Amino acid sequence: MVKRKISKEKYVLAAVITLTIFAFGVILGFVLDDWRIDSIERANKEQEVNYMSLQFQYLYLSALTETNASCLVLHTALDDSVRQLSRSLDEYQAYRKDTTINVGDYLIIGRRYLIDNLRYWFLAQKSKDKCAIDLVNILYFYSAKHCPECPDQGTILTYFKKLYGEKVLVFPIDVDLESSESLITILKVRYNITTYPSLVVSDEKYEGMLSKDELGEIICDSFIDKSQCVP
Amino acid sequence: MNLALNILLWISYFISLYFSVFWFLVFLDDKLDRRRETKSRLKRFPLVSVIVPAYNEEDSIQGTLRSLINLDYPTDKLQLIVVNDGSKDTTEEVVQAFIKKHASYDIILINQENQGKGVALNTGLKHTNGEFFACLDADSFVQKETLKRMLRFYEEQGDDLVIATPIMKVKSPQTILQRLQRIEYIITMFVARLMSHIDCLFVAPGPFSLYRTQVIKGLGGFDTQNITEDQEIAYRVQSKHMKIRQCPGAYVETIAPHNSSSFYRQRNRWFRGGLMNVLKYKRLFWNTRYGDFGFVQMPVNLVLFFLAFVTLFFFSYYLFWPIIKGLSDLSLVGFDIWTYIINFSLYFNWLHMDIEKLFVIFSMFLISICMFIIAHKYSNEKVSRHGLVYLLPYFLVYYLALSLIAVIILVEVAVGKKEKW
Repeated sequence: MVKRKISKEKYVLAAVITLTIFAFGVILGFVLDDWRIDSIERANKEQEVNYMSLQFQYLYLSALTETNASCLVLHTALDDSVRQLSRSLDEYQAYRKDTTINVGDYLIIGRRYLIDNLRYWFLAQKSKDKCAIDLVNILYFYSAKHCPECPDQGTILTYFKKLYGEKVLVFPIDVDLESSESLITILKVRYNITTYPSLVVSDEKYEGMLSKDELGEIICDSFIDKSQCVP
Repeated sequence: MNLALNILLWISYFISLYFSVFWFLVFLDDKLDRRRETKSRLKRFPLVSVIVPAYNEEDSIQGTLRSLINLDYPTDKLQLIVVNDGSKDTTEEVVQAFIKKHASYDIILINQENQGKGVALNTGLKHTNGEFFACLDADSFVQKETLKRMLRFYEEQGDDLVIATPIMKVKSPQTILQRLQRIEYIITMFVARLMSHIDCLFVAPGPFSLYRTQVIKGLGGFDTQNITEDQEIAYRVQSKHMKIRQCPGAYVETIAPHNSSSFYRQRNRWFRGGLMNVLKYKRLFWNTRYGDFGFVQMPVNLVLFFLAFVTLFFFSYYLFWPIIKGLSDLSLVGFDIWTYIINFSLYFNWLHMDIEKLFVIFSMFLISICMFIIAHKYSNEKVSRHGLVYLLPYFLVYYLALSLIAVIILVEVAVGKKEKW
């Protein structure tokens, strides 16, 4: 007969070791989340400096001179900044989705991104008028919580950003932050936004999901020089 | 990924890591038999019968019988019983010719209608005169010293031991599939050594497990209704609190399935039989009277199916979901791939990685690698014998294929599909 026994010590020790490994993993998660926040905050600071630079460029153009060359520099710098902002916003959104910790920090960062986007949008609108730059500014109202079509609209907008490069600038507004950021309410009232997704292209509001063809046509119509339009 | 899927993933990580650590701790146990082989000097030479069930084995049976007569054991203490289970090829003629050629050996050929391996083994068991008997599949080949080592092991272990199991190896692997199975056998046999140490063996492999004849006869022989009778007999022995242990250095080589269809058939039989046996002996579940066997091995034998399901699900999720999402996104933009290609930029940020999960996976991988190297050492095999190139598909693809088969079996059993063996 086999002398049966239960290897209690091994089970307990295995559980302790396994939990320790898991705990290390969780601690790494905390550390990583802090690094992610640091990284986003660094990007935020960079955005801040970029914005100040752009703002100064704009003031310079308004106050002193107005040459095509200066306008071109402003446009390129604006495009670079918006792209950089867009990429770090994507990162922020991915990190926010993954995190179960530091939720408060992510909310504040989210608001900063929102304000940054609106500042750039505002500057882009003014620069467009000032320098007569032929670009299309799109304000994109979306919700991650209450809009199943928004990811598809995001895909189509990304496509046009790739297709037109610096000629199309997209400024996403996360309406889920409305309760903590009253600026969203002001814009919603201003453009009478009631559903999502909604787009504001050249001050014209479009509610509901727009297909590739529909949005393509709207973008084309918004160009001053229609030859820039990609069929 | 939503919360429920994340919880499912973390549970499967925990289970996998826990048992990896547990087996590693068993390996570190001071009392583990670390010998690569037992001494082959025997105190006495009992009569041993070897039953060779054969069905359409004309190509390999001669080699199998030759390996038996080449055993380092007195000829007059060896009885060979070939049970031809209604072969449709020339197995019968080949065996008869072999008997004629080796007239000095005690070899019996029994012909019967095809009734399955379990019946063939019981037929052989009826004719067994030996104090011990072994079974040897007709596609397996026993090494010269193996029988003496096993009998010596019986002498060491005393009367309690009822079944001594061998260490199986894949014979001369040729195809990629056989080389992957070679690695699998090495690891499985090492884990079996660890299971043996805590009396958790749940299979007496068909190739040359050595049994105490009277005990097995007393238990009623093999279960003829069971498609994995070698598992069932081990479960039965365990359920009677009898001892079954793996014998160090008792090597047996077997021909592994060389193509995917024969591999699928074999694993289908193993998994289905495994599931049936777990259910048949469900009374042993968490039954503390059965020690580690009831407390851990029985649940593990079922949990493996759960892990197979989770593995397959998440593999599909991570592989197919991005493809479906990508195609869906492309359909939204009229499949204008060119715009994406010309604007493609490679961007990597390590902060995007899921470090928590990667850390756990890395820990499991580290333990697996340690076990992998140790397993080779215990099987007297070199890690690089067939090239390191097979390690990658072994770790990445092979277990996925096994998971797929296990899930298919689960589905088949759930819908009540009968097996065909």
